[in-house]
Amino acid sequence: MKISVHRLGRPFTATVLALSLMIQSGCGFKDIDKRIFVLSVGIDHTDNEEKPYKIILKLAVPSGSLKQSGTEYTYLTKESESIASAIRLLKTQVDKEIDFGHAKVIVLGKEILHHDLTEVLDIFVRRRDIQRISWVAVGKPNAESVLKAEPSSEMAGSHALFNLFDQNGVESSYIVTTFLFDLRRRMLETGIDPILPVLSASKDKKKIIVNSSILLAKNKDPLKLNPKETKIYNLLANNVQRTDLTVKRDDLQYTVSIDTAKTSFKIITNPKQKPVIKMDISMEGIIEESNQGMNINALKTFSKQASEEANKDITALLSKLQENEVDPLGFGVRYKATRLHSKDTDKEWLRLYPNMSFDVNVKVSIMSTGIIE
Amino acid sequence: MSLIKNNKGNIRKTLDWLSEEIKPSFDLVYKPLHIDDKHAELLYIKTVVDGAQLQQLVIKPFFELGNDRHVEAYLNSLPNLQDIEAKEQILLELTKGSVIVAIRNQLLLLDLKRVKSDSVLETMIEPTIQGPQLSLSEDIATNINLIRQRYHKPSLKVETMDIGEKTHLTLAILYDEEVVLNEVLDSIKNKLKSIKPQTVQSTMELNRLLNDKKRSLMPIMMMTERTDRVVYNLAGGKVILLLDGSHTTVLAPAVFFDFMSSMDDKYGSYWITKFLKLLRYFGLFACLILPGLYVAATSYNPEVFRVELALSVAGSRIGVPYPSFIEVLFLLVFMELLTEASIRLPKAVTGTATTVGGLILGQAATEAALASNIMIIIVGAVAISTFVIPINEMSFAIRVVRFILLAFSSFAGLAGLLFGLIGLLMYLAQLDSFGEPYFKIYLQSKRTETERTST
Repeated sequence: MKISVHRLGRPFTATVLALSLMIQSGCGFKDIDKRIFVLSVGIDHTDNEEKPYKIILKLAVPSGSLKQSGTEYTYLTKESESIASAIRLLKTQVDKEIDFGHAKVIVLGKEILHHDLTEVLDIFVRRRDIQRISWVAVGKPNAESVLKAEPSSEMAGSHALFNLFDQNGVESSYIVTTFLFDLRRRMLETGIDPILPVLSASKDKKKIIVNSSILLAKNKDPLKLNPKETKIYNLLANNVQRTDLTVKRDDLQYTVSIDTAKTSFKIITNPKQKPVIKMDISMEGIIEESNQGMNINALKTFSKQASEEANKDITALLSKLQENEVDPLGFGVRYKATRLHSKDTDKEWLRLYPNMSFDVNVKVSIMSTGIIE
Repeated sequence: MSLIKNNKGNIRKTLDWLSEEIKPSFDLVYKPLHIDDKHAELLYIKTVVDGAQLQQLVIKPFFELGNDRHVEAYLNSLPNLQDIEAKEQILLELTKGSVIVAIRNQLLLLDLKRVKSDSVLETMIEPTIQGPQLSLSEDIATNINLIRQRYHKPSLKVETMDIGEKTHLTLAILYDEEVVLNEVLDSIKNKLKSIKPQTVQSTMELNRLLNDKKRSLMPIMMMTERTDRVVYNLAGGKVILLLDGSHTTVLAPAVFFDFMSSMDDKYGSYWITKFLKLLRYFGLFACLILPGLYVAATSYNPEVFRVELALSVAGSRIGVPYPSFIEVLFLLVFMELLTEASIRLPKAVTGTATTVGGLILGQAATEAALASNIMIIIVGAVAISTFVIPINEMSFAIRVVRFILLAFSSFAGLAGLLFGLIGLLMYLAQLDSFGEPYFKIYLQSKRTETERTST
């Protein structure tokens, strides 16, 4: 009898353990249908000094048949003295666990830009469940209206704001993309300043337009870039491959579609000469549209005209940046990296930058006049 | 030649002892042959002896030849003649199908076996598109014949021994003396001598008997029924074990990657076989990790995959009552049952079983919201990719590993899954097959590999 009990002991324990596994699971276990996914987070400023932050969460509510009914969105808003406490309170408004794993767009209301951004964004870089590769954008007129806008082209299960930035959907030279990690880096690092795209929602909430951007220099007011400047910024920052260039000469007007563009710059500081930033930009493209017949033999002339046109625009933008003492292209970082470091390098650069002159050298090569003769 | 060459009385005694031992079997035949002054006695078990051959080789010549000296000389010259070592050996040989002839004070043992299972079967376990379509038979002599027919080399050695305390089946050890790894050969021979099983029915039993570890998961010998694979491995220096009555062979030593190779890999053109291999390893990983990945991705780390996927998984899980790992376990177990059922069932019913089980059960499970649609896809993908593994033994082992990985990921999500995979890798790496590392990757060229083995 004793022996049989002994023999049974081990298999018995094993069976009990195995069966208990059936009802056990790890501590992070939470089924996907018990979670609700935050797709984007919006932060607005309220006039209430007690509760300065207004948090808007856009949540995706999955439905059984994705193809027919599509994903529905729901919104949660809360005003609070800190973002974390707002999120805690928002948790009590839903029956599911709020999951920030897919919160890939953070929209900052236009008003909140006057706040200290490091304070506002602190929670997003501190929390482990928010991805550092989230995109950050500015919402106009406020974050709430951008988040609540549901563009008519938005399809089931694919969030329009993601498509704007992830280069899988639309690719445009007017869209600046800034990742959260990059924003944080640019905010902390001297010699480079953050730039954020501006999302403006139309009044009927059926459209989101993203073609301008905002520069946030340290300790300065935000500086707006218009669509054209945004496009040139993208070109200079090597962000886009595809852009276009419109040239006007007397009656002739044509647009060059640029397929490839490459920008490089050098900071030359000779003791005896004025410091200069030498910028080389080479572009290749074809003529896309014109109001007159284009002579294929005159491609060289066209290229030259386009180069001059681009040169003018680029120099104008660079001067604007310089005047406002903002540096989204990272001239300062380059300066620091290529000079012998001393404790005054930063100050040295701040002194130098307003006096820099720009030597912009654009080389546009127009390859053809398109496929029509 | 006969050793028992004693007087008449001694022979009489031996014959009497033999018939005493075998009685009361109905099929024991004791037949004295007598004409003129010629006299002989036959003793055999008629159900295992080839009657026609006996008639042709023994009885007919007995009556045709002049005197019994001629008959004795004739019988002694037959190729079927076996050596006699002891009385017990005669007894054993009688049960195998030999005939004892007592003539002129001499006992002669003639091998006149009748084998009904020597027809060569078609390949069933590992079919290939190209390559030979016939496998082995269930008779060892035929099998050795088949292998020798494909491997004409004098250095091919065939050693035989008896195995099984009760069944005394013939076991043949085949190897190419020039390339075989001697340590492996010695180790296999020693182990075969040291094991004393009561019965051995199939070559795969040897896999377990020859394994030092009592509880093992991975096969350390490879079972095959393909003669081309046998020959390929013989040439590669492996040891082949053949068992009488079994139409499969086992090869040793075996490394993990052997189990992932199909003979078609040698027959197709380069890029096709590379593609097929890639596909096979993809299948291996798919069937290993998919269930675990599903649990990890739905219950721990839904942020790893795209938001669209997360939303559609979440949507398809609406109304599923149990947590994801129970859902996976439930469907996986039913899939395993289905696989088992289609192996055990008579061939005529298998089709019905798979239809009812696979289609109806899967469909109904999603309709009843017991499982999500995506789960059904995963289980289907897992089931299919399991069958991609060419060697059955390995595919059984992988089926078990899958559940272990599922358990790991139910506990700790993706991290657990990765942890489990690393554990599996470590387990495989510490295994060895008769002294050869189990997870050995042959990065040397074929030539250097065989050169090393030949010395």
